[in-house]
Amino acid sequence: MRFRLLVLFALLLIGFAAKAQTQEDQLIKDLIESIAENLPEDYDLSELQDRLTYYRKHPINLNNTTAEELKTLVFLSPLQISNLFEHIRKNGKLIDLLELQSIPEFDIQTIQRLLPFATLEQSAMVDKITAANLLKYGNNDLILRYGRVIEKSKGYTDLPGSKYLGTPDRYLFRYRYTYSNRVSASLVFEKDAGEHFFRGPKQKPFDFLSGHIAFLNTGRFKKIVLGDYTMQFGQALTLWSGFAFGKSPDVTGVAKRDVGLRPYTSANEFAFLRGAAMTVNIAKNIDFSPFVSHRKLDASMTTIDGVNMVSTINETGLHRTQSEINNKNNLEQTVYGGVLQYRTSALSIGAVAYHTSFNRTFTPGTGLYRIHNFTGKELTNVGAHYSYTYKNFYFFGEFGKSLDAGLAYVNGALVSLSSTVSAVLLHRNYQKNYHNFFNQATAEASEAFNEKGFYAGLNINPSKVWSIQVYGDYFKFPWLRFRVDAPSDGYEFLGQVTYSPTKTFRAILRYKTEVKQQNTNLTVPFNYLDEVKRENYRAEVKWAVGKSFGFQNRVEVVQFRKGDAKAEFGYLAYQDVSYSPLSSRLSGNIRVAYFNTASYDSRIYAYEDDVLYNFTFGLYNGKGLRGYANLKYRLAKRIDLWGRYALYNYDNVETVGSGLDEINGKMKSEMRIQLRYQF
Amino acid sequence: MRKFLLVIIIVFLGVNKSWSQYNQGARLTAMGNASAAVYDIWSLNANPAGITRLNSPMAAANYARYLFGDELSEQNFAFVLPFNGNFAGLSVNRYGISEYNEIKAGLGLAKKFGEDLSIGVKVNLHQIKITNYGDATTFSVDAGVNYALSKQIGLGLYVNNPSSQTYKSSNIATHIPTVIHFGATYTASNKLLVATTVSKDFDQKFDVSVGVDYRFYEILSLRGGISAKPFKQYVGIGLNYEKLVLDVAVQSHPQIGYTPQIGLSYAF
Repeated sequence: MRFRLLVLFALLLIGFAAKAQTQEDQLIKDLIESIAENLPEDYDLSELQDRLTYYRKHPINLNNTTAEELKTLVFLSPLQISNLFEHIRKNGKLIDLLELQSIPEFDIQTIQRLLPFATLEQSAMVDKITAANLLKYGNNDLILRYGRVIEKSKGYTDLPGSKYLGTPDRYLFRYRYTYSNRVSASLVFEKDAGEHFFRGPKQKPFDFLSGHIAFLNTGRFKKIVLGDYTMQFGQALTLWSGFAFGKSPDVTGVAKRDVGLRPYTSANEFAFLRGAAMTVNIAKNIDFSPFVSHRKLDASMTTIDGVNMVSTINETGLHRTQSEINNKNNLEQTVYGGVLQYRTSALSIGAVAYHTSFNRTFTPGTGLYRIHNFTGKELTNVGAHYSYTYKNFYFFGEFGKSLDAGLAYVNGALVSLSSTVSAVLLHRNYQKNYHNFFNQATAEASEAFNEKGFYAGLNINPSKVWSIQVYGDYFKFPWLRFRVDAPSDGYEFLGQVTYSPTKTFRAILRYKTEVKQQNTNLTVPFNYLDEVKRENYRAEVKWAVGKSFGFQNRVEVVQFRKGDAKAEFGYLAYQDVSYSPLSSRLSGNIRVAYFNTASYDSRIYAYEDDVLYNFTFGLYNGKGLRGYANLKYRLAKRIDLWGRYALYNYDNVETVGSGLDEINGKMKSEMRIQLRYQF
Repeated sequence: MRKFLLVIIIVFLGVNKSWSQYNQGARLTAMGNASAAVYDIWSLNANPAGITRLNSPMAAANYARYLFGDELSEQNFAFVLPFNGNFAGLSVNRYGISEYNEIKAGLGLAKKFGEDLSIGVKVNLHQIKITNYGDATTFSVDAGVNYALSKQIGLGLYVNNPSSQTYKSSNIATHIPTVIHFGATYTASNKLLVATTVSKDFDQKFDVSVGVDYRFYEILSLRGGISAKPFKQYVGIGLNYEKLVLDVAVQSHPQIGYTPQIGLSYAF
């Protein structure tokens, strides 16, 4: 290791002399960006980026793969995957990748996206696990990241009460090891702004520590993971940890791509299981995945009749103030269970059962809307899921039941109506007392319970140049919700048109409207519900000049209206410029944005470019300018350096932010640097 | 008392929610009434130019039942006769209960100009009858045009009541809405039709609808649609057996609930 470090420094020094290499994969960046554009604002795509980077180096052999593996390429729809297997079953192994064009549902865009990650050759990779091979053929990927907000916020001043106990610096250390498709390991440390760096209270030694070791494809043992992992099965209704795609302009996103057991390598402090899990092939087409997890969670407590009870689990992973530190790790969660799956090329059936227990008792807390929430210490969940392909129909669904509590089910179909049109239908019914701690099913609310709904979407690609997406979703909440003191309903509608006449030009128009109900803002003896309506209009063009310069412009308008109040508006306009010459070691991009929103209700989110593996959705709220610049420099063949500077410059304000994050003045700026060393 | 309530509801919906469109038959309804550029016998109740794809005389009847009332329903009848590239149509529609009903009867005439363009006009007679209260009549005009941009893309435009006719009787506050509809269809394959229509009532906001008609088997079609204001969802199926067509549709409205309907047509 010491030698490696020496090499690292040596390379840093002689980096300038090293030969220029081809650009960091612009392709993955573009792909991630297009996926991110279609997501709500809180997704963590670093895991996806990781996967894609891996497959770029080690393409998937389409003649020798599984549906589970292909589902990790999120841009493939389940119907496409199913059609590919059907094609291979009927016509034998693919001889040429061009053959993909003859498979139903494989449009040009999909093939273009797939090609970089696919091959037809059995890789000649050595994959026997021996010490020598592990050292010689293993891939190591080390990331060091540092960032901070430059201005001092209120939480770091000498306040008498609640304040941030640590420094405003953010650190991330991530080491990842992979050997062929046989061994994977990772180690992650993270410190958020405001947290103690080293050996703070309840830290050993860093605030967040995550790691895993995994052995894959060892005979019947398809996967064995020790440490942190995620489990993603079926339609995310019974057992799904981590993020799941949902309603988005990619209308097929509501059909979940379940990838089963996966090692966890992200820095998110909540969305994983910790312990041991494996997937074993126990008979032809039948896999069994037993798992056990024990971990500590952050929870807010309340005292009822002298007993400390859990009122909420905190998912942020922030431990900055005394009360956040007090809440840290004060709940222990133990989960064990198993998943049984039967899979053929057209049919997949699965059964899930697991038990969750805590060392403290949950209380529903105050508020009538929470009355059906989970209480007690123990919970058993069972569920069954299926998917079935019949001709141009892909049916999917899942039933979930929490024992002694509610039932939930979701069923849908993905239909390829013609070579240019596909449709998605999804019906869901989640009872108000459906309790589950690993539930990411498609829903309007952030959690899939107390909801009924019907979703219908169309994806139309009449030619290479045009692409149209439309969906409508109607939902009902049979029980009360936070700030909604009565049963309520609402709908969402989205339409998007993309025009891309050439490879270097693309224009998008998007309209989205959402109508829901919420308690009136007026002070009345009994809250009645007001209609809340939010409309988004977006226009965007992206084009390239020469081979090095890319431009993107967007204008977005949000209209928000509650009850009889006057509608308020939010505006955002930005200009992006990117510079990424093929033969240069330097690349970068900048954004200048102007935003003006009447209030937080008409805020606007937009995906922002950032250092590799970090994902930012900028929040544009208030009035002012936003700018950022990212630079990437290839120091040496295996060493990349990123730098980012971003700032908000608000108009006519005395302070920025609120609470402990309040900053005097009208500027908030942030810097980040990152080093990646691959060896 | 229940009947009285029903009348209130009908009048309320009729006036405020713009009961502008008479039923467009179970097929077009299942497609979310995204009918401006679709060809169907029931185009008589939408874009009259849409009746110009019929090859032989055709008769159709349709029945819709509103589930929130015991006897609130709508009945429609249509007949189209092609002759020398011209098309004559007759439609009669009745909506309501015995104490309150609206009738709209109309005569339409449409003509093809080449293969791509067709134009249609329809004259309607409207009548409202309320027991123990009185009745009122008036007339209105609908006019529309259909144009095939390519083999796959069709456009349609039609207007209801462009001259803003109202009921002559001062007793009746209800009016005949003036609405412009513009729509497009995309014939993705010989099995699949995708249609959309944007409608603007002069007194209302824009309404947008999208619908799909998918011929699943030779004799079976599956349909679905949504429309925006208010947010409604539609599904339906069609059975096509030789000269006889049976269509079923269900509309789901956030306040009114489900409205099933059934239609039967016969091509001579």
